[in-house]
Amino acid sequence: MRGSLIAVIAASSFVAHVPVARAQLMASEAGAVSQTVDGTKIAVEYSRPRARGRTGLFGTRIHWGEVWTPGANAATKLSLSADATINGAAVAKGKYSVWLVVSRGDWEMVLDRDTLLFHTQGPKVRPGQVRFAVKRETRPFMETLTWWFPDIGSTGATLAMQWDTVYVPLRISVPASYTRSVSPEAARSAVGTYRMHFEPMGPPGAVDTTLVAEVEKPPTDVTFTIRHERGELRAVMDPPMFATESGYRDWILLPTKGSWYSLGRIDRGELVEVFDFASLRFDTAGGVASGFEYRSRGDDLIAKAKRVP
Amino acid sequence: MSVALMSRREVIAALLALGLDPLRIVRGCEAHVPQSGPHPVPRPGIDASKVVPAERLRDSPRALTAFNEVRQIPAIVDGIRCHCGCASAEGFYSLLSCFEGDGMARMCDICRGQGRLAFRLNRSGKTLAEIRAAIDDRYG
Repeated sequence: MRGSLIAVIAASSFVAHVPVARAQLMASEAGAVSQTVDGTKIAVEYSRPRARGRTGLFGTRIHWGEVWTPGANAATKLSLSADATINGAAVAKGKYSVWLVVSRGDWEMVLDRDTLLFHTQGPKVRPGQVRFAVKRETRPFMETLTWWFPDIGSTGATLAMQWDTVYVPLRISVPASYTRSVSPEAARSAVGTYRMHFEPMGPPGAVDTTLVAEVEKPPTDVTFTIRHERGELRAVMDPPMFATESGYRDWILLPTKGSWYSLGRIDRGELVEVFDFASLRFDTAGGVASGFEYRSRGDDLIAKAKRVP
Repeated sequence: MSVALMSRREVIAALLALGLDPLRIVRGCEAHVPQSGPHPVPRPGIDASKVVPAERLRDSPRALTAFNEVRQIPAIVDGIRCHCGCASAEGFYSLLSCFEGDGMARMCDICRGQGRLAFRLNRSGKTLAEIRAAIDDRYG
């Protein structure tokens, strides 16, 4: 009851936007977490309640049927810098207050455009909301309510919330910042085997050679074999750029600006990194590429390749 | 930067001699938002007298080459719109402006790349129109 009274007073202050002098120490301290995936930033701002000896919070302190913000004080906020999907539901870029409709059965997440709500002001159903089902799991007890990203991939991430023994994972998929597909016409001239020669290191003093010496150096000459597979330009570098670590043998050519391609490296079948600091352009004459140049954004020649007859 | 903090991506960039600071290479001119627009008309009588002199580029050995090349073709570079986003900045007229004054091209691999590409193509006999088209193809 005392907690409810405090909440009402706090809510009144919050809604009226009346400046309230307050101490720095809070029962539920402010927290934030963010993650960028392929250029899309995902961020959560929230206050972090602690169990403080209480257990079995859900169904007792947080009642079944309640529209609850997974946090405390002001509603927890989720922001996306680009359109994304969460558990398969389309979510437009922007900032939302975050709510969970808790029940004995399946839970529902509600994302509401009003980000100035207090935790006692769970929104009703209204236009512009995004609603989707979430699964909850049981995990070992966690004292402080926590949002984090337990899993990061190249196309998305898992954002999770846990308090007490309730763990709620959200699968977020982000839009790709690159294009993978290459038309058969464009691919035809590029497909083939090339002898690729990497240029030597820059002028003395440009690179800390003592530092670089501690890391495996890439080979200077490799064979680069390009094929068109399922609408993509894939390539194999032999020997790989780095032999002691996976992910430097298989490549994908990603069309960028004009007639240029970026190299993306494939590790265990997944595109894990795009080398955006350089790009590749074929020398095409008579419909077949005779070779290509790989140049930095600063137009430094990184590598030159000639088609193997 | 220790080895542990240096990713292979950065090592690659460093190995490939792209400059002193891999982060600078990768980020480029992120303070500016690229905007398309027409290429400027080279100003009559334009010269390279305002291009940052070599003695002021001792701390940027990799940039020196680009500045030296641009210094040789001011009338060409003055007819190119910079695609890094600085074209909309106050006082900027053309790509040549990036190599003048404070020499922001020292910090921007896109500016340097356009300057070097312009020089390379000019040396191979390409016209200003062809150079503009190549720069638009790569950086536009």
